[in-house]
Amino acid sequence: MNKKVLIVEDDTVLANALSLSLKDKYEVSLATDGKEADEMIAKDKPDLILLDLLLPIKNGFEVLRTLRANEETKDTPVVILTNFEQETSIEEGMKMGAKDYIVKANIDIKDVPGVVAKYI
Amino acid sequence: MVELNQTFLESRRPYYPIVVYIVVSVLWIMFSDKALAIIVPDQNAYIRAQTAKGWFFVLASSVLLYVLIKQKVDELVDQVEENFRQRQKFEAVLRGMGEAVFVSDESRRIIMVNEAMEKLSGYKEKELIGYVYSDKLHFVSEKTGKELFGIPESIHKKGKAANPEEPGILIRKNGTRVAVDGIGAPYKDSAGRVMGGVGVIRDVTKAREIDKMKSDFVSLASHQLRSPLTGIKWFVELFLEGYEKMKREEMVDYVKKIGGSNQRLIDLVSDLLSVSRIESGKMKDIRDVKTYSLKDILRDSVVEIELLLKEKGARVVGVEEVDEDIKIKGDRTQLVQVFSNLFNNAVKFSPDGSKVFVEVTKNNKWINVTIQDRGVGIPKNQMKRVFEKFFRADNVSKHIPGSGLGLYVVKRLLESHGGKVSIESSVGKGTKVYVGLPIMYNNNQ
Repeated sequence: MNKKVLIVEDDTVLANALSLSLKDKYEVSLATDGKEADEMIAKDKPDLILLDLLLPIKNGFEVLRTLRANEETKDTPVVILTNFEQETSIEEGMKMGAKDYIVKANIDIKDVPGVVAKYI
Repeated sequence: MVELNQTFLESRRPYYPIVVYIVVSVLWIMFSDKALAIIVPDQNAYIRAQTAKGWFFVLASSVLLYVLIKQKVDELVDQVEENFRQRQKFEAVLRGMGEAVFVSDESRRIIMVNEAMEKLSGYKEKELIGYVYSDKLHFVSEKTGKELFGIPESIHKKGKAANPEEPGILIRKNGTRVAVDGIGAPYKDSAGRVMGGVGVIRDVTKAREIDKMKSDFVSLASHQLRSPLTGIKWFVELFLEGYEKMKREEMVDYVKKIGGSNQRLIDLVSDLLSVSRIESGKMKDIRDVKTYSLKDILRDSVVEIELLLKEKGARVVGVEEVDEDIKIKGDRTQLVQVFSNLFNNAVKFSPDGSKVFVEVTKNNKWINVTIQDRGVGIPKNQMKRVFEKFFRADNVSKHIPGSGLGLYVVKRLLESHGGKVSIESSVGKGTKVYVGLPIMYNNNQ
């Protein structure tokens, strides 16, 4: 059975592209806001999370905090995939245990499966 | 000040009259008797003349001493008075300065502060005078919170003026923090020795807030611009990688997504340009204020969103019922932008086939335009943020594209026309936007 990847992304076009690039190798699911992400992480226990930061309802850092506080999900690898590029948020993301902090505009879509394979 | 002190010191030469007195006395003692003997050869007359000569000497030397000493004393008094006046002027200038100033001596003790300094620091003058300034006035780095020593080091060790090495904060008497900037400079004696320092500080809270707002705006704008750009990039990559195996519908779908992202980018750049014009005050420069029929403005605003209306099968109802005689004054482009933004929101956030209702009323002060939709509404806890830049309500941000700048632009443009805007909304029921344009404003322009 394929491993499960949760994409947390509120931009439907980008979520669609990510999903298209990963669907052949992974079982992909999508959360479009922070609250939905919390629920899906708790329910589906994904093997890796691609996490955007600027999200409706709850931002990505809050999602990460909730995930780390839960014994069952605290070790889930998380890759922050965002267009928000500020030194402080990169520092904070890495401090909170993200495996990587990738700026969406700087990565080719064909390289996304490679990033997932590296950390899953 | 330094030059004045120099003259003052030079003039204090008390030995000068004494030297003149001694020289005259020596000449008198050595030669007066001989001269008198030649002038008065008779012995009895010579004795009387000598007594008179003695008295004359006492009198003449007294007059001479008086003249010389008075001259010097007058000079000294003038110098002291001039010095005092200069000091008073200097103090008046310092005290009257809008910027906070403190002066310290060579041992870094405060010898003077002005009112602005008292106000800025929260300390009274008497609580500062005589204290080493770093014991009372704590300047710390905004970023690290560590004390900044660059300025005192530069003044007292290098004898040079300096600015803070990084953005600083002054910790006030009550512990509150105020963003400050300024300069510290030494003052020196004629030999170039540092006699103390002068610190000039100003409150830059407002300027720092603006800087932060600007940098946050750039950061958010870049993020917003990057999203559609990434969409275009990724779908072009996916298309190029897979088009050979794609069906026609799949190809069309990819190209549509690229086109959609591109349109988002164009809209966003237009909105950002509007914001930039508003914030730089250029809107006023390009404003062409004329009188228009409100009905015409509303009609033009509907035309602006015609494509969206067609796409969603929606209608704006009520414009044709507006009284033709209701006139408004303002910039046509800006007024059309206000109403087309509001119509655009109403249609965009309503289900397909919806109607948006427009109603215009007038009283003796305001022309009121109400725009009502039966769309998704705005969550109550987010109502107070609706006019913020880049704000997008949680219940729409995922599925309906937008920059989050539309209402901000509406508010700012209305305000620049003397108008106002407010919103009532209920999730699932719809939104009502109230626009008010003052009649007074329109009559006076």
